[in-house]
Amino acid sequence: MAAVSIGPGPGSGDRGADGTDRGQLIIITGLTLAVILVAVVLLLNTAIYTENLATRGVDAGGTEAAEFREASAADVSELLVRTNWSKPDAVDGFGGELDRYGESIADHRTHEGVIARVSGEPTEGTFIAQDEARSFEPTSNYHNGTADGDEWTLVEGTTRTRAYTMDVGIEGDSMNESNVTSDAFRLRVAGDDATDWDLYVYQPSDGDITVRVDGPDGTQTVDQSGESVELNLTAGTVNGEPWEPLSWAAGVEDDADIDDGERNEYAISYANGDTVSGTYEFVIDTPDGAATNGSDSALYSESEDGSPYAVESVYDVHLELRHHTPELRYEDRIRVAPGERDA
Amino acid sequence: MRDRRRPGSFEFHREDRAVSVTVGYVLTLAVGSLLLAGLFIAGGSFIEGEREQAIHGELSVIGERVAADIMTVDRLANQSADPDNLTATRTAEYPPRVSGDDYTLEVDPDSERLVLTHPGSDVAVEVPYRATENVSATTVAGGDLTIRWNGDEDAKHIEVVES
Repeated sequence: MAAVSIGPGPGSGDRGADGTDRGQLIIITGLTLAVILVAVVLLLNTAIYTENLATRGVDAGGTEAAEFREASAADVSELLVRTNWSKPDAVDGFGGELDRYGESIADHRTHEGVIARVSGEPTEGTFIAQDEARSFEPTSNYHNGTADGDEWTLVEGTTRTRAYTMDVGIEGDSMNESNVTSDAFRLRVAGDDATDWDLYVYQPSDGDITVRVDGPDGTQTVDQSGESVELNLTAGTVNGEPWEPLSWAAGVEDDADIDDGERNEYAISYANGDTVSGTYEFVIDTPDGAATNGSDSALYSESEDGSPYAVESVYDVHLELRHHTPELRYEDRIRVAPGERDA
Repeated sequence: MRDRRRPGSFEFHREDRAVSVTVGYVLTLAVGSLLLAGLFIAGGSFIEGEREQAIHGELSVIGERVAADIMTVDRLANQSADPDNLTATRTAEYPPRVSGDDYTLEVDPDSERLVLTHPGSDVAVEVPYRATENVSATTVAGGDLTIRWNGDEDAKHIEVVES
């Protein structure tokens, strides 16, 4: 190597030794420095890319997909409740509404670069209600002369109930605790292979209203002051406040996640309906066809003014959701049943 | 006095100059070589250190992104009411090479860790993740990956495969 050889090379004079060879040393030094600097630049480039990668959001649209699911469930839930109220032909009406909702969601999301789809299959059910405040008795022609205070069945052969609300006031006298099971208003949920689940509403001697539940956990009571008490049986609230023992049809109704059609069937009946008055409403997952064949057929065919009645309704809807972005493909199925016990 | 010393000093100065040129040249070469060698050694180790640090940083970032993607799929699977029919597929683009070399990504569900190894520089990075659902153990080459939910009846799991 010329740069490290001692003395001038052949053909080079004194000036060459002073000038050219030293110049080579500088050139080599410069080149080395240049190589090192280029390597540093390349490394810095990698580091900058890494930093850039690190500052990008880590969520690849998972939150967006989850939000899409929650928003769809909430919207369809509202749609379902509204359609049940407003459409006489609830199941077909809801199908149309849901299609329109799906189209508008798809259009809207397309603008954001998302392929979105919402479609679903509604389950036909029955909406049973007494809208006018009167005793919890059936009408006079129901069951051909059910006597006052007798037990009467509202529905049978159902497997699920949702949005069961009840506004109850006391009509009769205050009641002795020992007579509650025989004389007080009782709502009974009776399954084939299960212990009955009973709910009593009565006025004890102190003037309050007592709500009592006889379930798998034994007898539990809660006292409420006032003229009437507002119960949400499936949500488990008394006058809007959660009351833990009020767990709808505990031990009788299967858990909501069993969805294969082999659920336990049960009947809902009232007894001593003449001791209370008020309104109630609920939705069951049994359609008209099955219900009319049961003992509650009069609810459909012979309703009078103010009497309890039954109309076609949507019980729940199985939604198929699709949310595709370039980063994440998400498809899921959910069931929407507003006001169900486990919902 | 000047006349007597001038010829003598001229002689001495001329010899001295010849020696100093050589010595100066040798010294310059020696110092130059030393500087050069020092520069090589210092620069080389500096570059090597920086390179390892850059690889470590990049593997960490890639590992954390893969962990985030696994957790995204896990969250969707965990919240699903019908995991049998769930589709959650994340297609992710990662750099196929880090600092000019391939790397591998190992999913270790037992310790809930991702191990990214860079054979070119012996750098390995461990990134923890947390998943509620099962994640299948696998080792894949770095690059574009697909992280997806597999809703098999008996063995539901999250899998990481090469795209």
